[in-house]
Amino acid sequence: MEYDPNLIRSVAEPVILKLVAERAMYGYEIIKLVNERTDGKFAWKEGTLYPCLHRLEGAGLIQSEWVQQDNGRKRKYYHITRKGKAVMKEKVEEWASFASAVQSILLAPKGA
Amino acid sequence: MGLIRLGGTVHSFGPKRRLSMQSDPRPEQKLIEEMTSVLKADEELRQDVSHELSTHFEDSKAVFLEEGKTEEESDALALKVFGEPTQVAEQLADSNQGRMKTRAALRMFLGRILVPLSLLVALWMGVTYAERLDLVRMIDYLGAEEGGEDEDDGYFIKPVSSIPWEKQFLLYGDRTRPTPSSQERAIWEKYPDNKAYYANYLRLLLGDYQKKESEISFADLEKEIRRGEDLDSDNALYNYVLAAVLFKRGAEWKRDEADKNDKEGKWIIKDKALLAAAVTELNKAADKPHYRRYLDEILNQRLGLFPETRRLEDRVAKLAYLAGIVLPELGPIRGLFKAVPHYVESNDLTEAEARQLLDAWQGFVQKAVPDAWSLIDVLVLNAIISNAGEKTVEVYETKGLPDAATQTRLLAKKLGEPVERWKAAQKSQEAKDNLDRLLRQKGGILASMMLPSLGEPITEEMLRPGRQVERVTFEQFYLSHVLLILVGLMIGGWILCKICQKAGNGRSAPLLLLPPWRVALGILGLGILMPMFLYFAYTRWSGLSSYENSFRDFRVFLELALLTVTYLATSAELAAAYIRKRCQTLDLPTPKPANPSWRKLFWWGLGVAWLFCAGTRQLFGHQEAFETFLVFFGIGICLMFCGACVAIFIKGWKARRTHGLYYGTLARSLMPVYACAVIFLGSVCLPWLQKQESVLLRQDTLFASHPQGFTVIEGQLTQRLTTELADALKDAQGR
Repeated sequence: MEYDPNLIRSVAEPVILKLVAERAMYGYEIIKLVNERTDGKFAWKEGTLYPCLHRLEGAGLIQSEWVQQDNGRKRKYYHITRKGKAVMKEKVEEWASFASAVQSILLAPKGA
Repeated sequence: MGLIRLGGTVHSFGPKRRLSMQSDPRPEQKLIEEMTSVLKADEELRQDVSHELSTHFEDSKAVFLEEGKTEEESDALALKVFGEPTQVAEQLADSNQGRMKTRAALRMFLGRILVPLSLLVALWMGVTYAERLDLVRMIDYLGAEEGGEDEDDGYFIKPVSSIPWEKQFLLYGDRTRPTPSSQERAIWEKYPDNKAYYANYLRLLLGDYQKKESEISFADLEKEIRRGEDLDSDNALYNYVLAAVLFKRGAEWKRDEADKNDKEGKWIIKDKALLAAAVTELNKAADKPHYRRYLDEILNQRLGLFPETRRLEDRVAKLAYLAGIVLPELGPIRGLFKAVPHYVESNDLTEAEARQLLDAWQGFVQKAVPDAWSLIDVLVLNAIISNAGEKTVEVYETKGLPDAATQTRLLAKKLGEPVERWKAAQKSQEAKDNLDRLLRQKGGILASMMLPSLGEPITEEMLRPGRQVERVTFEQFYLSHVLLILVGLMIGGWILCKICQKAGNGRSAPLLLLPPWRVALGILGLGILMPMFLYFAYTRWSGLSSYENSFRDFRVFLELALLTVTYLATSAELAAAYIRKRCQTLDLPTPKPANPSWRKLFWWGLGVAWLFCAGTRQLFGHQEAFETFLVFFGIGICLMFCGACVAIFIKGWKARRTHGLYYGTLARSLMPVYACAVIFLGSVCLPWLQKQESVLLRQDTLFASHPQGFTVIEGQLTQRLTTELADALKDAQGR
């Protein structure tokens, strides 16, 4: 089943915040993790991740840092900031409340 | 060719550079270029995003290769999953818009405001301190054997140039007039009833009259003396001066060249009529109650006209003003009382006439003691007393008046005691050695110039503010030179940047890197604030530095040289380390770093030099060979730093085609760091030092000017000697 792109876009930022709150991650790693955890249901176009990351960085919710790997390659890692953690908590609560509200209407038994 | 556009837009070179090196660019590179072209206004950001996307492609492609896809298939799949380039580009532009605006404003601030502002600050400081260099000439003038010989003494006027013209006129008279006396006369002309101004003018007129090339005739002088006599009829000054001049004109001292023991010579009468007129003036003077030159009144008024002493040159200007006060009447009056006994000896006078003339010195001393100003004045009085004790006594004896001779001898001895006591104390070898040692170790330049001749007891605490105010002033001069070095480095960086830009043939423009705020704070804090803070902590609070000693402590210059090198090298090292790392991240070709052994040697050498500086405090004045070694060691470290700067410039110039982008970026990105250093030095350190200078000047009472001498200590000595003389006179009269 393919989700509505608008729906996916609206959850992209809380999802990224939640993931980089777990540990510092680079772009490709985030994409891989999202695909793994959603069984590829989100089907993000990888290129759209970076504008999202940059927007979050611009808002001061995440911070980036280039880190050199053992093989000499460099990757840009993102980690959540204090401000980002607060926003993430808010967004998760918002989403839970929203999902519950939607569920109570769309999935409620007939006549309930 | 204008200033480098630090804040301006630089054109794309990143992906283009990579493309230009390959005839057939890979598809993902084309794609990345397409997507990041929206960020071309911020080349560093574009490079950063390009590199990030490039690593993503590599990761993605590697996974497809692992899954067994071919190279071409992996490329195609990686591109496919990445999404529509136009859409990504739009989103990238949108999400980075705010950041790009902020960064553009920051670059604009750094390039268009900070760097030009720093150049203006450096220029203003340079001009200010170039003007303050007059201080060196002022101190030279003060230290000269014959003060006042230098005609071009305009720099002494500078400190008072800010006060109203009326006050300047009262201080210096009409400076458009040719001679000191005519300049001073202008003041009296404005205040014709003022006796003090007239007396002052007449003294200077006597000085001008005595000059070899003088155009003032005796008749002119006599006319002006008579005018003074009319204006101030109780004042014996005019009659004594006229008597002295007449005695000098009516007789002369002639030495017997063959007789080596004849130091004084023989007193030969040239014109008896002039001498008779002189005696009349002398007798007139004896009948007058006062001898007033009004020097103290005039000086009290004039010292009050000087602006508040906030700079060392204000103080030196005051001291120089006092030192510039000539006492032209002292020589003729001393000559007058030296000649009087010879006149009595050479003429057939009645006993009463002889007594009146031979005792004339007593009346003069009595009137002159309250008027005595400065040590030289007291010493001339003592010379007159001493002459009376010898020649006058001899003439009394020749004239057959032994009682008068004895009385004169006793009186002269009594009156001579205060100065004799002072001289004896001054001659004490131990006291001399102690003072000499103290001045060598703890005295400032002014103290070393002005205190030894006084022989007064001085303590280390008395010398401290004066010494430190000189050190603080020296530090200001030194830091203004550091500003010039920083400007030199900025200009050198600008030239290197231009060379590298030109070598890139327009394909690549050196970047102005904008570090994250934490890195920027680290560079500014550790590289610019900390070295200066540590220097001030070390010199002001540790008690280990040369700040506690005179300029003879060799470490003064070493500490300042090491501070300069530490300051410049720390900020450059921290900034350059970030720039290299950033260039490597952005995939700019960076040259091999310099041999780490040289870097280690430099930092270790610098550290060791500082440790030695602090640790060799006890050696001050003892281990000259070691001191010389340490100075050369410090100079070696400074030369290493200068050599490194030149080497980087030459390396950058030589490698302009291969690593021009790196060197250009290094030079361009270092400029704001140096600009911050200039602004910090110019707007924080130098004003703080100026404030310290002002505070120390207020604390330094030793060299505060005193209306009874050049300095407080001389004023106090003069006061002590004149009080003792007055007491001795009272005693003699009582008996």
